[in-house]
Amino acid sequence: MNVFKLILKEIAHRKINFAMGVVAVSTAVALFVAFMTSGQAYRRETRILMRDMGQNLRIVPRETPIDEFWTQGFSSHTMPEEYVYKFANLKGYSYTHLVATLQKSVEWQGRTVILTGILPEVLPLDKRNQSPMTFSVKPGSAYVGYQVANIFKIEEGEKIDIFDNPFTVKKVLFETGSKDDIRIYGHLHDIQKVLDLPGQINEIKALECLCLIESSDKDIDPRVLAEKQLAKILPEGKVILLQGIAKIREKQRSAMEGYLAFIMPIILVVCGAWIAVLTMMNVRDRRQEIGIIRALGHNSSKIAMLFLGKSLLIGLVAAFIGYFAGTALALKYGPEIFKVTAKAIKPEYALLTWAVIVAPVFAAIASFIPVTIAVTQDPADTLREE
Amino acid sequence: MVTLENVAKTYQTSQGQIKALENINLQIDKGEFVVIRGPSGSGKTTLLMAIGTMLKPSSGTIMFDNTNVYRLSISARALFRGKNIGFVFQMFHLIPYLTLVENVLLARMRNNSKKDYYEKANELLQRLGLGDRISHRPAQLSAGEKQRAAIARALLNGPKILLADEPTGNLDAENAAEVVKHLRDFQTNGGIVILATHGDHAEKSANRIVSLKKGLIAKVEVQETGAKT
Repeated sequence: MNVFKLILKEIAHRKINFAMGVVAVSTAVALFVAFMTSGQAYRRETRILMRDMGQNLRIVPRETPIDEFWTQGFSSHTMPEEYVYKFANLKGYSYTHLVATLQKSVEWQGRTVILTGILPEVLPLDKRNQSPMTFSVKPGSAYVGYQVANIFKIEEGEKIDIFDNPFTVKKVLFETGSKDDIRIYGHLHDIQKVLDLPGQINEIKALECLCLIESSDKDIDPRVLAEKQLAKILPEGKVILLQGIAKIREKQRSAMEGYLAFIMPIILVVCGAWIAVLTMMNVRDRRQEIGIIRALGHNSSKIAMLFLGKSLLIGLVAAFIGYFAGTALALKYGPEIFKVTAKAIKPEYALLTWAVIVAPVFAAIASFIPVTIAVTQDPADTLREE
Repeated sequence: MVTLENVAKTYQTSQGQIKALENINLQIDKGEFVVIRGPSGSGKTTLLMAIGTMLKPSSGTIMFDNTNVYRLSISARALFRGKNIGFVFQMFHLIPYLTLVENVLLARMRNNSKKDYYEKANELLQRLGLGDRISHRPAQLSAGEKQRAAIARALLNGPKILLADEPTGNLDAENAAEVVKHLRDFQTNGGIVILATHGDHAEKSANRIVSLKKGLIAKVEVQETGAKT
């Protein structure tokens, strides 16, 4: 009767103890694998975002002087409205928000206002249910900025006339302390009519764009690459990159890693204690068995091997279960928790190797104290307990 | 031959020191059947454990022929125990998840041929009337069968000494007699049997009856009616 056979027989006899041990270790492995798999996806995606291309994009007319753009906040030039639909149908890109606007500063009733036409947001097919980034204004309606409403004593429901075009004020906006307070918003097509710029826009905002690029392009400056790629379909467009979201993502990643650093030790301690308690219970259940094995002339190392072997086996089984469960968890919940695209998450096979090595060692370490108790238990004492 | 010289065992408890054995001097020769008798708490089991190399005396020496067993290292003592001493307990101590033959084979020391020992285990179980029970688990056996299986396990390595602690304590008269018979068989083949009991099932078989009282040898009776080697 060798030790391995004895371990297997004991496991078959005390299935629940073994199963509980496997649950403990596989929980730790699964959570770690899930975090790491999602985290890897996150890193990959953030790297793509930051280094390669995926960014917040502002696409403005090619001839826009950049100094004017930043001073004014919008371009004084225009480009075709159809660009927004071309961008929406562009293969290889994904985005969460796509908004086309036409903005122009005009004199209205002796004051300067910014007329802003907004096209209802174009949402990706798979995100039709998400909340739009900005409001949309129905044709014939207007949203009036706080200062404009204040200056002209405009109230909601009132009719206003903008260069012979009638609008109903649907909403007076809250004060923002920005240029938005002197805007009058309307549907893009209404504002195009007011400004006599049919079919024209002067900006497309595309947020949280992800773009998988050819590896040969990976060293190209992201803005140049974006322009190169978009030039084919938006010849009159110019790309301006915003770092904001990428930076937020980087912060999120740091937060995620901090969270992992906080949660993993807790998981390890809880699961380790769980294993220790189970092993201790197992040692207590088997006091007389240990005694008789000692009485039969087997030494302490055999007793230690019986328990450590079982723990190693628990760890090994749990490594596989935990790895597959963790990968499944990452695939199912990773996109929601870590805000990454599902396709960025893929099984991390290196983690399986890690799990197969670390989980048995973890289980063995967790059961170290009970094993020591088993080994040092006085067989004469246990055999006297009749 | 087993020789005990001035063996004493004391335990330190919260209530103070307890003398479990005191001034035990015994010499047990090959082929002897010794019954150690005494009420509960008289030190019978402690004495058996000390002879069985499982409980180091506080003082005194225990010699097996010329070997002072408690001078051996722990692992050497374990090996010595496995080769020379067999144990039989009142509660049998069979491992519940092993079959009878596996329980017997548990005694096999490493480096011994698995095949030879499997045959030997089978033969022992046959001899003890358990030939049709080798694949049964302890839970499927009667108390008498369990004790016979425990005897088979104790005999697997061909020990020189059998230590039996109340081996008939959980058995009816018929099974008790059968167990004693197997112990006598071992003794008549040249082995030493040391049996601790507070009953009288085995007394007729004994060459010597050692009575313990509060850890001291109170009386030693030599019986001519005891089994002869």
